[in-house]
Amino acid sequence: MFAGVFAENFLVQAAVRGEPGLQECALALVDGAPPLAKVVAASEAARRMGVEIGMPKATAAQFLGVEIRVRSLTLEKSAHAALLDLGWSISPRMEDTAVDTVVVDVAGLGSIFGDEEAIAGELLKRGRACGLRLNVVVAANIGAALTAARGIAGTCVIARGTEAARLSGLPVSVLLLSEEMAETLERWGVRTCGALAALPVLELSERLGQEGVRLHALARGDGARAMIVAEPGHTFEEEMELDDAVEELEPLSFLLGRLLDQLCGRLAARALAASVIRMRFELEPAFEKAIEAKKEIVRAKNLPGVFERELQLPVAMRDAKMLLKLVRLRLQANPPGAPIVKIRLAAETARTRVTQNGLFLPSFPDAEKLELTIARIANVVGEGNVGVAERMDTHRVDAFQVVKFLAAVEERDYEMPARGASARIAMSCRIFRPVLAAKVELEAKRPVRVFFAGMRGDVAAAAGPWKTSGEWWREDAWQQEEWDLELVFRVGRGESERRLYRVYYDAKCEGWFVRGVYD
Amino acid sequence: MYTELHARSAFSFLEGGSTPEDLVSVCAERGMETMALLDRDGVYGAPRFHLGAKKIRLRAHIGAEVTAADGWRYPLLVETREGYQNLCRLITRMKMRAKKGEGHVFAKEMTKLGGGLICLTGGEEGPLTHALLHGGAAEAERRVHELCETFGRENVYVELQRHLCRHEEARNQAALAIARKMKLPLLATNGVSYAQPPQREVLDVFTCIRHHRTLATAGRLLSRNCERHLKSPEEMKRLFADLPEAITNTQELSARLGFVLSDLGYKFPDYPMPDGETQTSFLRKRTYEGMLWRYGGGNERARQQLECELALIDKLHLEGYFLIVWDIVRFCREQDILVQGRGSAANSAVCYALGITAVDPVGMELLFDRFLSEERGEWPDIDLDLPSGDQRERAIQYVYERYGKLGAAMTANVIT
Repeated sequence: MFAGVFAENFLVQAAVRGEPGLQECALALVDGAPPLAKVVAASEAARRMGVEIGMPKATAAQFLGVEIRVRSLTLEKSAHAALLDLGWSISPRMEDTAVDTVVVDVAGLGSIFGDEEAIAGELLKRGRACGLRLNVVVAANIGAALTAARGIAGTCVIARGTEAARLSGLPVSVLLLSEEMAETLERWGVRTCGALAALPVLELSERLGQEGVRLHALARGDGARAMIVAEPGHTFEEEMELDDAVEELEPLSFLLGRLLDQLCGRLAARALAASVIRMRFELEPAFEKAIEAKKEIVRAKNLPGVFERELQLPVAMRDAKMLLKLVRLRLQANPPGAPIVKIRLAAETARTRVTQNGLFLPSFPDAEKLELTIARIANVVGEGNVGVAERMDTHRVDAFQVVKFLAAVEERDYEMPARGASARIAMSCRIFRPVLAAKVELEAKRPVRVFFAGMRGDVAAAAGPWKTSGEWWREDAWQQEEWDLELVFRVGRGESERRLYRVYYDAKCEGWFVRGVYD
Repeated sequence: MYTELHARSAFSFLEGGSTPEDLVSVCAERGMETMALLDRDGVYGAPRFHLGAKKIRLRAHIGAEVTAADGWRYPLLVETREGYQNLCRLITRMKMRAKKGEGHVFAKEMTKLGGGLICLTGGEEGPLTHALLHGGAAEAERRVHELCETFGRENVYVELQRHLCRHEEARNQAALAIARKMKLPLLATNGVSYAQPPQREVLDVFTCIRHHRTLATAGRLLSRNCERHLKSPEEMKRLFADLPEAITNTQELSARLGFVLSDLGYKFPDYPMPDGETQTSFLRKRTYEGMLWRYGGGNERARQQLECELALIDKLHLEGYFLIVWDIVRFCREQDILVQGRGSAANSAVCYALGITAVDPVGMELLFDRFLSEERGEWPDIDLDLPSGDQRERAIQYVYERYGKLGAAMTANVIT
């Protein structure tokens, strides 16, 4: 069994999906360069008011209460992608028949969704969630399913053998006739599929050729053919072109929220989640600053600037509200800096997170909430200043970097000490950050006295120097000589205190520093 | 006085930053009279090291770091000619059963071919460090015991290196404890990887190439500091002021190492003889047969020249060499493969009589000493030109069949 899925008046639906406020309005879409722009699609309400396809934009604008929008290929592409995702959410076997039509192979889905009626209902429901109003017809062959979907609103199941009867009342326009063919049939007085099916096929072929035979078969509900299965795509993108540039974060958030809703809806349809969200904003060209500059600069300025950001998510998610908060925080910290004329959001997908944790693992805060909290902190302290300190792969002493904080619990294989290995007794060293500047007196190249933090220590014992140097190819190459010094401090009359310090000489800045003290 | 007995050259391929000549010249500058070169799994650098040292009257000890099955390396110094032969055999066996850059020797091979070799306990890649890291002090002691059993107690030295690194000192203390317990001699070395401190940069770049990394991503694979250079005896004495015997032992060990590369004892191979013939008599017969073919019977000048050349060949024991070349040329003639000797061999009447060359050196009054001279002390070489392709391959296959796959080898050289 096949489900023919058809989005009626697709151009209008795509426009409404991008701007839900137009849902209840009389809408006319225009296309073409001014002043030759003409109406290419109109909503039912607009048609009732008298707007016709092909009408000049100026004429359509005369109708009070009719909203006029420029046709947007971006929105249509996005709506088509949503239609495809809807099909794949039900079955992996799907045909991308046309921009507004898909066919889904629903055979064998009974155990998941129920009977054909339930499958059609599910498709309709999922379509509504994606912002599309659909006709869904389940039939035994692709031709019948498609033909009926173009003519029957809502859902319908055509039982095998009853195709001709169910199609008989539908107008011949559902067969997607060429202009010439439509004229011929009109002249013959053939207005329904039933009337066409009633014509003798031999005579029809003599007058209309093979095309006539094909249409006759379709009108009878005999449209069996092989399905051209479409490969599921892996890109999830939503775009929006703005008529008026947006500069403030609040209105931008509103638009981003809408795009994220659509994106998450599509991800949900495919049982996926986003691991990375890529944002791309095209910025309004800045003319005003280039007025006094040379022509080349003006040209360069006219090119739209692009502002790109990437939101790495620690766990894959598809909660549109949560994502919007994270995106907002990211944009607050790094605003685009110019009015935005086009928005594109793309999601890198991953499998949805499995939330079941082990019974004996400690509980962690919810990953999404944690990410939001970290983003808020980053917004205050700056990106790169929040996370986990990680030692860098270098010989440079005390070198570390801040990496993203991840709450995911990793099961670690704890290494057992090698058999026969002697237990190591390590001393702990408290590191001063920042290091303390010191003055060191040397004798025979060895420290004998150290002055730091208002104290004077005589060296009782010294070990070293331990030399490190590296990154000689960079300007900030380092070279240090480190000593472990046992220092004796006089604390009172005849009393002294001994402590062990780690002291180093930095050859680059030619100074001595106290790095830490041993416990 | 200190002698550096553990140094790598650029012939350790991406593990050494200086040429052997650089090492010997810096060694002389630092006031040392002897030095040892231990390249990784090879003695490729030894000839240049030996010749470089000879020029400035330095004594060059030869050795190699030979990879063991577990990945660590035996640092081996050659004490005697037998030791050099054993070392070459070990490396050859190892290379012949593995891909380029891989392979290792087995412990039983080392037991069999360990004669004439001195084993050090090594630095970072040595057996002692490996055992300490993988099994602690007890395992390290066991490993040193094994070395003593393989090479003999008197031929094992516990090596100490000080590159001013914290972790290295812990290793030295463990090595010291083992040496004291087992009553083994200590030996200070600097595990030299380059001649002068600035060449650390070359080594770092080599390390990146070896590990397929960039300088920015190599991290701790790179050197910690610049201390792996050739240090003067004074510097080494300061470093090992607490262990003076480790320094003096370098002198003692150096004195033990009697082998130098000029003492190879190489002998040219013999030609397989028919019964009742010696190499000399057989060569003489073939030469006189050739004389009749080339000069006829009555050319006294040619006979005198041949006698003179045969006498020198006999004195230098080179009959086998001439007969082997004659045999190859004879095979080519029989198979209709064009063959022609060229170069200085054309100055030899024996080569002309044996059909190796085509120019009459007697008639052209060419100087034989240009080819072979007792005073010059060099070995002769005879170049044969062969047509490329299948015919040359047939000649090559003949040599392999006649002398065995281990008795013949193909080499390539790059003339720079």
